[in-house]
Amino acid sequence: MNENATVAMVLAGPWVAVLASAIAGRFGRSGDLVARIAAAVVGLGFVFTAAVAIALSTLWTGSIQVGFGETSLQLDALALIMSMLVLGLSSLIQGFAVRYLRGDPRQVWFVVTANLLTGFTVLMVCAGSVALFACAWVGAGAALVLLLATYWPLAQAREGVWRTAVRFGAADTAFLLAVAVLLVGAGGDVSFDQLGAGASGLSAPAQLTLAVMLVLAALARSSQIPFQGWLPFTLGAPTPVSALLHAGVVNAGAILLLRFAPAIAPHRSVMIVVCVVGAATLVFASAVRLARPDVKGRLVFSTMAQMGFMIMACGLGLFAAAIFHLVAHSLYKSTLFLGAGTGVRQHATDRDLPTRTAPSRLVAGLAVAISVTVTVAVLVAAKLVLSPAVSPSSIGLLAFVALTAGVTLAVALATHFSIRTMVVGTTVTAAVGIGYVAFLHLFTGALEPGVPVQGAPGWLLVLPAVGLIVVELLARSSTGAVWLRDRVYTSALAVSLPRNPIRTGAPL
Amino acid sequence: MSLILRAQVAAAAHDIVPAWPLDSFIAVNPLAGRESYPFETETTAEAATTRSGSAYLADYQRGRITRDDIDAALLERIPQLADRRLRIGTAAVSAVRVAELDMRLVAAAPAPEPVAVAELTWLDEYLAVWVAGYLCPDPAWPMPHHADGFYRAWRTLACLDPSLPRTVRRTLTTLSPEPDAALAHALQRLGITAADVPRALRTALGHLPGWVGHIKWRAEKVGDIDLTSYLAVRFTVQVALGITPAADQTTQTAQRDQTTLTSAPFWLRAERVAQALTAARPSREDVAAVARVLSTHPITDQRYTWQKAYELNYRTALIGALRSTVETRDGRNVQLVMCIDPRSEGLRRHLEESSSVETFGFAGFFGVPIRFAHYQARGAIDSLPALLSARHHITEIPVDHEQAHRVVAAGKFRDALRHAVHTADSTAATPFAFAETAGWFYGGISILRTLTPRIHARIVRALSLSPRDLRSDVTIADAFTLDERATLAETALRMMGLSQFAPLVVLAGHGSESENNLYQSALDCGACGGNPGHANARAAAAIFNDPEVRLLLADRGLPIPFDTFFVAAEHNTVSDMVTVLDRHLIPDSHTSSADRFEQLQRTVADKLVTERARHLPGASPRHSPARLRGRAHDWAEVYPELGLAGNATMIIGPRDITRNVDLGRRVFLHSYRTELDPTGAALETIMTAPLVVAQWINHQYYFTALNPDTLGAGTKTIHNAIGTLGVISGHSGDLRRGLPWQSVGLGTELFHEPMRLTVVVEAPLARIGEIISRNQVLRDLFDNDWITLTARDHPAALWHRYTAYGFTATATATPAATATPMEGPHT
Repeated sequence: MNENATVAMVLAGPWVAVLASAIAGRFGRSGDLVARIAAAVVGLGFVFTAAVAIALSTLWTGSIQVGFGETSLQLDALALIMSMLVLGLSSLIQGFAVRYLRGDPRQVWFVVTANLLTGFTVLMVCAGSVALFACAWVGAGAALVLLLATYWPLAQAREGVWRTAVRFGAADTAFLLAVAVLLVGAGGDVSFDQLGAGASGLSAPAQLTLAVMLVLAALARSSQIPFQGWLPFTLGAPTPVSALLHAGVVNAGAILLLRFAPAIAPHRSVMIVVCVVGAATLVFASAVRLARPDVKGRLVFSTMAQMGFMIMACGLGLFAAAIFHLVAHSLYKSTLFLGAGTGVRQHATDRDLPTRTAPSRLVAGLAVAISVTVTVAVLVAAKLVLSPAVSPSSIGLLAFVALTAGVTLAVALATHFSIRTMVVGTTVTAAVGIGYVAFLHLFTGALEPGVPVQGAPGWLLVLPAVGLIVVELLARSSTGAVWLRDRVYTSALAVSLPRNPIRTGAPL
Repeated sequence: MSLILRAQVAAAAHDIVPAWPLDSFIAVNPLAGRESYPFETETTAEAATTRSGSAYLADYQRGRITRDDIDAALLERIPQLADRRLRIGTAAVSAVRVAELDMRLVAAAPAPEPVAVAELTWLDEYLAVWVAGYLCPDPAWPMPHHADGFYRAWRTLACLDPSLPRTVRRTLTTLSPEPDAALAHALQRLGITAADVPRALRTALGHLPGWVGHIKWRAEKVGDIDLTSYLAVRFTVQVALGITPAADQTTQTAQRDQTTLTSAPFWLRAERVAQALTAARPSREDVAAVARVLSTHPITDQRYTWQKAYELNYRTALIGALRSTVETRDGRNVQLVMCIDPRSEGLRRHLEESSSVETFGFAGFFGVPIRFAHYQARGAIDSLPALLSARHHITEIPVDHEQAHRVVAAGKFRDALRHAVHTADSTAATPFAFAETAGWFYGGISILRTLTPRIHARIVRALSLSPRDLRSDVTIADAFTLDERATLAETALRMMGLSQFAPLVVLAGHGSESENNLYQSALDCGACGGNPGHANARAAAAIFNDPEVRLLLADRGLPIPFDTFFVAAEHNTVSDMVTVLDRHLIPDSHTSSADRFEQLQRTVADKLVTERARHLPGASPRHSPARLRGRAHDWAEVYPELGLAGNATMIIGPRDITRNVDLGRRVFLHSYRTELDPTGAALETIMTAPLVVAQWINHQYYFTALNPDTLGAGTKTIHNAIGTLGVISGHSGDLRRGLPWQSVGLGTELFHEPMRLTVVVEAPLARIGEIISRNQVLRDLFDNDWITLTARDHPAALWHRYTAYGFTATATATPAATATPMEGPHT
C-alpha cells in the first residue's frame, strides 16, 4: 500500500463516521444504528492505525510523510501514538454511548460531533506543517464546543459552551496571530522540521512574543491558569462527552508544545513560565478537588491538576514524559468518568468487608520500612539497568513515582499485614516500577524533539511538591494552623460558588 | 421567641416530604403533603397531576381509551348526567354523549405550555454549594468546624470567603452564634412582620426542594443539620447582600395555567359541540341545551375525567379478568412466598403452570424488621420498611470456621488493595504518578467492561470471595425473644393466609443486580428499605423452622406439620433466577424437592426473561437468555431492568382470584384469606402498611412520569453523585428527587402508564369500611381520590366501588376485547 493511502486510511475513519451519521440522522434513521456504525468505523480506523504502527516500528522504515507543497501530513511516533489513543478511546467511548444514550433525542448529535472532534484531533496530531496544524487545532476546539452543546436546552450546558467558547476564542486568536506571523515570514506553509529555522529569522523580542502566544493556546486548551474557568462548567453534557473531553481534548496542550518546540523550547524564560503555570494549576486544582463533594467535580479538578503536571513536565523540557503521562492519564480518566455511577455499589462492597483495625506501631513501622526499601530498590535498579541517563528533572519525576508507590504499598501493608499482601504488593510494585522506567525510556527514545531544549531548572519541582504537602497537611489538620486551614478550605470551596451578583453589602 | 420560631419553621416544613439518601432509596409520594386535600385541588403550580389533553386524545384514537370508558368516567364524576337526554335539532342525544364530544373537541385544541423548570437563583446556588460541602458523606477534606453544626461552621468560614465583598465579610463576624437568634434577626432586618413570617419561611423552603427534603430527613435520622440552621444561613446571606425577596422570586414563574383553553369562550364551545351533533346550523335553543350540560363539566376538570377514563379502561379489563371460582388445592409439593412487588407476578404465574407449585404474596421483608450485618462486617443495612425503625440487630455465625477464616482473610486482603488504591488516588501528591502507572490497567478494564461485560463479570467473580459465599446461620435467637418470634410468625401466617403447608415452603426475597447504576437501590426491595431481601428471608425461614416457635404456633391454632421445611431464597429481578440460600440447613429429606424446585425454576426463568425482553429497551425476545441477563453486568446499560414501571394495581385476596391470569407484572399481589383473620387485624395491617408502601411507589412513578424534570430526577446521563447521599445534575444545583427518566421512559416516550393505584380487595365490605374510617391516612387516600378501591365480600359476590359515601355496586364487567391493558409497559 502506498504512503498516501496509508495516511488517508488513518485519517479517514472518523470523517466517514461523521458523514454516515449525519446523512443517516438527516434521513431519520434510528440513533442506535447510526451510533453502532460510527463506533465500528472508528474502531476499524484504530485497528488499521495499530497495524501501521506495528509495521513501522518492527520493519522500521521510519516515519511516513506525505506532502502537498510545504503542507504535509506525517506519521511519526507521536502521530501514531496519539492517533491510536484518540481513535481507540473514541471508538470505545462511542461503543459505551450506544447503550448509555439509547433513545436519547440528542444521540445523533453526539455521534456527529464526537466524530468531528475525533477527526480534527487525528488530523492535528498527524499534521506535519504549521498551517494544517492550526486548521485542525481550531477545528477541534470548535468541534468540542459543538459537542458540549449536546444538551443545549439545559442552561448549564449553555453556560459551559459559552465559557469554553470565550476562552478558546481568546487564546486561539493569539495562536492564529502567531501562526500568521510564521506563515507570512516564510511566505507559505512551514513544516515543523523547518520551524526552528523559520522562527530564528525573527528578532529576539518577536521570537519571545511568538513563543508566548503559542503557549497561551496550549494553556487554554489544557484548562490551565488563567484559563481554568471552562472545564468545571462542562458537566451539563452527558457522561460520554466528559470521558471524551477528559481523555482527549484537554491533552492537546502538550501536543502543541511538543510540535512547536522548535519555536518555544529555545527560550528558557518561556519554559519557566510554562513550568510555573503548570505547577500553580496543579496545586490549585488539587486543593479544590479535595474540597469538592461531587464525584464528577472531583474528576474535573483531578484532570486539571494532572494537566498541570503534564504542562509542568513540558516546561521542564521533559516532553516525552509529558506524552507518557498524557496517554496513561487518558486511559485512567476516561475509565473513571465512564464509571462515575459506581459510588453506591462501592459503598455497599466496602460495607460488607471485615472491620478494619488500626495497625499496631510495630506493623506500621514495618509497613513503612518494607515499602520504602522495596520501592527505592526497584526504582534505582530499574533506572540503572534500563535507563542510566539522568537529569535533575527526570530524578524529580521519579521521586513522584517513588512517593506514590511507597505510600500505596505502605497503606496496603498497614491495612492488612499478611504474606499475601506482602507478596502481591511487592510484586505489583516491582512490576509497575520496572514497567514505568522501561516504558518511559521507550517513549523518550521515540519522542524527544530534535531541537535544543532550554528546559526550566529541575529544582522548580520543589514548588509543587511543597505546595501539595502543605495542602495535604491542612486537609488532615484538626487543630493545627486553624486560620490557614479555614482560609484555604473556604477559598477552595468558593471556586464552586456562583459569582456574587451584588458587589456591595448591607449592614446586619 | 426561639421556641415560637422553631414551631413556625416546623409548621412551614410540615408538607415537605423527607428525602432518603440514594443508597437506601425509598419511594415516596412527592405530593404527600397534599394527601389531605382532594387530588384535583390545584395548589402547586409546579407539578402536573395529569397528562395533556392531546396525549389522552392520542390514547383515544389508538383505542387505549374507549367511548365507554369516557362515559363511565363522566358518570362517576358527574352522576347527574345519568339518564339525561336532550333534543338537538331533530335527534335525541344523551347528556353523556354531549359531554364526551365536548371533551374530545377541547382536547384537540392547542395545549398549554408544559411546566417550565424553575431556574435557580444566586442564593439557591450559593446554598447548594455550602449544604453539599457540609453534608458530603465521603469528604476528602471534611468541612472545618463541622462538629459545630451547619450554621456555625458556615459563620466561621464565610468570614474568609473571597467571593463575598469585604464589607459583607466584616458584618458576618458580628452575627449571633445561635442559628435561632440569627434567623430571627435576619427576618426582622428584612422587615417581615410577625404575621408574614410563616409565609416567608414557606417561600424560602420552596426553593431547593431536593436539599430541603434531604435536610428534613437528616434532621430526624442523623441530627447534624436542621431546617432552622439552613434557614438562618439563607436569610442571613439575603440580608447581608441586600437581596430583596421580590428580586429573589422573579425566577419562580413556572406557570401551568390553562389560558389557551379557558380563554375559549364558553358559548363558542357549546356551539361547536351543537354543530358537531347536527348536520345543519344549530339553533339558539340547541346551543343553550348543550351549554347547560357543559356547565357541569368545566374545562379545568376535563383532564381529570380523561385520566379517570384512562384508568377505568384498565380497571374494567382487570376486574373482568379476575376469577370467581375456587379451586381445591391438593398435591402441592412446594409453596413459594414472594414479595408483593409486581416483578414477582411474572415468576409466580409461570411457576404455577406446574401443578406442584402454589404461590403467595407478602411484604418482602417477611414481617421480620432487622438491621443486618454480614459476619464481621464493618457496616450494616437497615432491612425493613421505612415506616419502622431498626431495633433488632442480626448477624451471621459461620458453620465452617475454616471457610470463615478464608472469607475474612480474602476480605481483608481485598480491603488492603482497595484502601491502597483509594489512598493513592485521593491524597494530594500521589495521583500523578498513580495515573501514569495504573492508567494502563484502567484502560484494559475499560475495554473489557465495554466490549465484553460478561467476561469481565466472570473474571471479577472468579477473583473475589464474597461474604455472600460464607455458609452461616443468622443470629435470630439473639435478636428476638421466643415470644417475639412466635408473634412475628403468627402475624405473617395470618396476613398471607397460609395454613395448609406443603413439605417445602420457599421464602424468596428479591434483589436487583446492575453495574454503574446510582439508582440500584430503587430496583431492590422497597419493603427492605431499598436493600436486597435475602437477609430477611433467611431470618424468617429460621424463625419458621424453630421447633419452639412451632410449638407456640400450634397453641395459637396454626400448626405447622413436622415434615414441612422452610428455605430462604433470593429472586434476582434482572436474571429472574431464584437462588436457594443456606443450602447447608436443608435436611436430607428435603434436598431432592429443593433441587427439583431449582430445576423447574431455571426453565421458567428463561421463559420469563424472554417475555420481559419484549418491553425492555434495546432487548428483543430473539436474544438469548444469557445475553439478556448480561445486562446486569454492563456498565453502559442504563436500562438493566424496568423496575416497577407499569405498576397500576394492588390486589389483596386469595391467589384463586388471579391464578392463571396474565397480569403483565403490573400488580402488587398480597395474599389474604378472611378465614384466617377472625378479628380483621391482619387486614388492617395490610391496608395500613403494605398498601401504603405500594401507594408511595405508585405515586412516585406517577409523578415522575408526569414531571420528569421537576419531581423526577431527569436523565441519568448527566447525573453527578454526591457520595451515597444523592445526585445533582451537572456541576451544581439542587439535589434531584424521585426516579430518573430511564425508569419511566425511553427517548421522548413514556413506557410507564401513569395511573393512580387501583386497590382490589376480597374481604367483607363492612370490615373494609371500618378499617378505612378508623385510619385517617386511608380516608385521605380513598376519599380524596388519590387511589381507588374496588372490593367484594366473596368470590360469588358483585364487585363494589368505594366512594366517600360508601360502597356502590359496579356493573358486571366484561373483559375488553380490543384494548390490551393487561400488557406490561409498552415501549
